[in-house]
Amino acid sequence: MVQEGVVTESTHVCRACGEAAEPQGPCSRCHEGGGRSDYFAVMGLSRRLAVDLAALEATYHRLSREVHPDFHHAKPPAVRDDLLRRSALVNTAYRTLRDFHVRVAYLLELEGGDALKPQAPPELLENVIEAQDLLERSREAPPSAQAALAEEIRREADRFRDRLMGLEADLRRRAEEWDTAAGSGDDAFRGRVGRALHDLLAQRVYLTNLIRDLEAGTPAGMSHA
Amino acid sequence: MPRIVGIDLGTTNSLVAYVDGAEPRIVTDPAAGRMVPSVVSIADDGTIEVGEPAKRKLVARSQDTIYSIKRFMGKGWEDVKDEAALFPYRISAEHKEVVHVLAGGRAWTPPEISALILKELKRRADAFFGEPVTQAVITVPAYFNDTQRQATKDAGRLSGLEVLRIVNEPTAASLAYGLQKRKQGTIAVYDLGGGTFDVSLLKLKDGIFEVLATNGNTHLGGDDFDRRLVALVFDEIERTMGIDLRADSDVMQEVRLACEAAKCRLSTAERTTIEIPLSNGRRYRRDIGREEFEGLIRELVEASLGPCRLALGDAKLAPAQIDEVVLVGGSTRVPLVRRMVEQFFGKVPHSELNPDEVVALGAAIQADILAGGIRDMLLLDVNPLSLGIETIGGIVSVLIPRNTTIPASAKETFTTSVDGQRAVDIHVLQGERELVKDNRSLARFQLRDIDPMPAGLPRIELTFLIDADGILQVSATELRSGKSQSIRVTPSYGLTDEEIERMLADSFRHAKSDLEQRGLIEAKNEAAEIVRATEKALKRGRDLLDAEQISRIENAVAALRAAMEGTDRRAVRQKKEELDLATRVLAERLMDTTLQDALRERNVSEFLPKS
Repeated sequence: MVQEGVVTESTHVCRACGEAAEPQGPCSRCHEGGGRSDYFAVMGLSRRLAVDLAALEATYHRLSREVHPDFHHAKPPAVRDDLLRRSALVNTAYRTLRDFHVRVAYLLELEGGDALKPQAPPELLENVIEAQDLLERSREAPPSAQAALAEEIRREADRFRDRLMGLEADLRRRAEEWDTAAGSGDDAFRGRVGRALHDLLAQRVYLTNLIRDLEAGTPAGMSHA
Repeated sequence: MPRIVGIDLGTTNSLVAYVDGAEPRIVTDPAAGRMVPSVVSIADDGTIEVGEPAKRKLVARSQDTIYSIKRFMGKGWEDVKDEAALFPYRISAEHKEVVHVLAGGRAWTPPEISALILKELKRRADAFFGEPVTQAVITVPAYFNDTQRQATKDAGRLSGLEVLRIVNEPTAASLAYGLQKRKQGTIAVYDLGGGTFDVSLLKLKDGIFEVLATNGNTHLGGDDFDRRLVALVFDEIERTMGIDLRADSDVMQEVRLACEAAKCRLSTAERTTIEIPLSNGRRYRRDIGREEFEGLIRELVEASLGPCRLALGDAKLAPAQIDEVVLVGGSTRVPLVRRMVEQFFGKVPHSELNPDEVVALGAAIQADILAGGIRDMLLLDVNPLSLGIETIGGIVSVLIPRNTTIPASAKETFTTSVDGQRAVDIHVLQGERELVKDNRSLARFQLRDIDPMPAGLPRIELTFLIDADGILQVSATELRSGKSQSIRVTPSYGLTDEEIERMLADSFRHAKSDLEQRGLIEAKNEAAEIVRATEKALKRGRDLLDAEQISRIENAVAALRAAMEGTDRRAVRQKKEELDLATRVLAERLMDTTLQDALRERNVSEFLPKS
């Protein structure tokens, strides 16, 4: 058993070597600058949300060939150990950057955006409550009312799926704005876009959970899975 | 360039291979051929026979002749006791933590028995090359856990071989196919062996073999097909002759071998005859057609499609997006298996390479890559099961999810909860379920000799690193002093793989109830947080609200507290969201006043409590 009251917390990790580091200043281990090196730097990219996935994959393959322990079996243990860690870092960097949503969340965190508390609009919260009511009613309803409620749940799920699609489009548009703002030096605008991206990501979590709950709540909902 | 061989240490047969120039080849023995049956016979006087000679003793000396030892690798007594009765050899009930087999007057662990098979392979390779071979790559089922991988490495060491790498069998097979065909695209490797089933999905591009997802069942294979036939035979003997011969280990072995042979014949013939000599001149004889056999095993073959679906789901692929399907393992010779795999993926599977040899050939290629020979191919494999640690409330906190490319690492910081605490216990688990009790315990770590400090002050960072063999390494550092922290590791044995599979299968079946439990714990934690924050904010901003607004918040807090007493996650979530809505005005007003205060540039110290 983990001892009662033991808390875990996330640490600041040097983006270049993966070792624990102080949040500011260069990493004491690999001497990379604190702010400069990150998963984008690992993959040779500037901090932009638009990523050429084919190029990213090519870089991943090239770096893997450089650092993967399989190609360095004859090296001394200390070197192999170091390569093992670098190889793990390259894998993590690729996994983080290849997925659009993970990439957005990571870059926002990197730019200090995680200090913002994401807010879902009250109207979305109300929708969530209504949908939960609907599921509740369906669970307690007599068999005669099931078909109608299942139909209603299906309609709700469709409505939220449409909304999720709209939200995804918003996310993409905001991501483009972010990249444009990056070159303009307009920090205020960039801050607003960051805030919007942050909230959209939070709403996306609400929506996907809601859709999942609704799909699980309809007997025929499996067909959407 | 060092000589490194590739070894397929199989449930039924084992092989050793090497790369000759650019071609992988099986090491052949002029007298004994290519495959070494994974059978070891140990006589009362301690004489040991391995391979073909041991296989011939399966019936005559059934109690001393050990086969399918791979099923027991990395297992404890609790894991295997239900299955032990199906084996004619004796498994000790005395040794709890690691399975022990009794033969030749002593107890043997599965790595020791496996080491005898490896020694025979090494003997063949030594003779073939005219010099001792000391280094090897050994394959394991992709779905083997950390303990089973470690047991395989132990077997290598016991046999006098340095195991440079543990490679997953389906991935090894893909290397052999990839080398031969030089293809790009997405391939599925369906590997049904004697005792284990794996499916791996890979993306091949520019010589990089990137595993996208893997899944499997370490207790599904040709042995299970045999058992269906064996059950049929014993039932019929009992019905027609009125005798139950199941407890006679020699007859059991005779029937098993006859059924296995009949199964193999039915892969090419439409009909065959099972014939078994019984005691006092009686015989059991019956005809069986392929269709009847297929009826017996259909549900087993269907059971292999579940893992295929899960792997596709994890890789976010549809069957139609798989460019090629490759069949590996002797059991893929069964026509029903081929048909069902073809139907599932919608394309004719490849089986150009001998399914019994392709894994060993792939292991030889991986060995050549390590030796510095082949430079244009690289394998990027994944961890088959999620790795996590136990947190408060018995919940598993996943650190490295399943199907993460290895090497992979994760870091987590721990601290103490009591002043002067010197040690912190950490429990590492492998599996896909939400709660600790449903996963396989991998190891317990104790961080020790922590400098006595007030509670919460030490910051010990643990690094979990899964290496290219899929084996976990853990290191710890005290962040303030930067000194490495001592760890005591207690590996846990305990659960069977069957349980792991059941866990995995259950995790999809029980996903709902698991999520409910986890969700409830989390929702309550969040709710407690919000109640605390609300009460604090209300104290600070009471003047900013009218009486109705205040009572609305207070009512919402009371409603949430009431919901937290119950077990309905949805109710907690709903009341929490209602409180969120109720406090919105308060939050906005507090924000406004803070902003106005800041705009008036008042001294910050005015806001600090006077001490």
